[in-house]
Amino acid sequence: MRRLPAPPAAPPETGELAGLRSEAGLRHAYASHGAALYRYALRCLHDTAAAEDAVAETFVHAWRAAERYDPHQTGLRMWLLAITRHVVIDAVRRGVGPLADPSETVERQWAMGEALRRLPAAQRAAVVETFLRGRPAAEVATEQQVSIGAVREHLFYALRSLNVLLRELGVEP
Amino acid sequence: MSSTDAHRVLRERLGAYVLGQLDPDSEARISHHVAGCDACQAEVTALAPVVPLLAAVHPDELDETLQPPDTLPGVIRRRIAAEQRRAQWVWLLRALAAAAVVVLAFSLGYAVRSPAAAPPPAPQPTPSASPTPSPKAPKASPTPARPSGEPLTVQINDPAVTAKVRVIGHRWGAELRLEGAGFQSGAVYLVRVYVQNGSWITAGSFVGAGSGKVRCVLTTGVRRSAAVSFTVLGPGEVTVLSGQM
Repeated sequence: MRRLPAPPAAPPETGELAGLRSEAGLRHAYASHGAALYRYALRCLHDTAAAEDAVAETFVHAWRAAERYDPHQTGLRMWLLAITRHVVIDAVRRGVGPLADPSETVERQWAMGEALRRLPAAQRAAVVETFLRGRPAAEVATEQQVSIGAVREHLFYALRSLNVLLRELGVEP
Repeated sequence: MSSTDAHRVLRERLGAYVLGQLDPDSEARISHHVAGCDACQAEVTALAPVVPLLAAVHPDELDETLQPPDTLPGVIRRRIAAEQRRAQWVWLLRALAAAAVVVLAFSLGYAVRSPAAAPPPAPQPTPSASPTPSPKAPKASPTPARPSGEPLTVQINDPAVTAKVRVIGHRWGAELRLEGAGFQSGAVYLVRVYVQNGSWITAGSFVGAGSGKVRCVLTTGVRRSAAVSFTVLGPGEVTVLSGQM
């Protein structure tokens, strides 16, 4: 793969510096965002092979269009997600994945899933166990060997973090 | 407890409050506090819209181990390498075309500028001047056909499917050419090539077209000499056809 010389003193994360034309840059972009894009594609297409294909196509498109990426307009994750969205829509038009649904609802659910993954473990456990699974806070507190106050504290900071993370993922709560 | 600490404790219950997890007494106490506290009101306003989004999540869908397969970066690398090869060919063809235009323009310019220097017209050959028939211009040799590859013996497990598979060895790896019909319309078929140590690599995928013909070129990063066999997996990862390489 062609290697470009490192551009001197360029603003961070420009198309070239983000290195989408270089193997190392692509590897870094994949390590940072590949799994999240895969889960998005899988959520839309309901088929692992089709989701893998969509992610591969995303990075090929990104490599091809690296010069057009402007970090001042959007973050790399959102830029890659926009490509994946188009790839998924194309796949839907080709009839890949009978349950395909790249709708806003799916995207919001995906974003919430990704945001939950990024919470510290204790905060995530507090939200998942008490709210999503409906277990009493006292039971969760005993299990985690903390006070009920600590579980509530985790809930508060978890919701604040989710609010920020969702915006980072392009979803306005 | 100082009033600052008391406020902090109340504020840190706002998460449980907007999630509706407090008992009625605590909820009433927090509601009363929020009504008179601008900072906590702002917190509630910011946190509340997260709740309906969160409520739509199914906890069992939060599979933290859900990751793409380890082979995916290799697939991306191979596709980009193929793009690069194509781009190099396009560049070469454009350069040749540009060179041809330059040569043509130069020749025309020369001819226009120097009419006197143009050589006199060559005498037309007469039948007597050329008693022997002029040799026929050699026919343009047809463009050499791309290597058609080596046909592989295919074992077909699906009676609806007919298929022929050929393999071509390149320096960069083996290329499979699959031609067939009867692949379930709209279904995705995955092609794997197995190598000598028993591992496999994905050569690509295609979508079935029912009774319509499917012709596809599948490339691998495995040399022809290292490839042992291939399989085509249909819906449910069922082997539809396979063969030794």
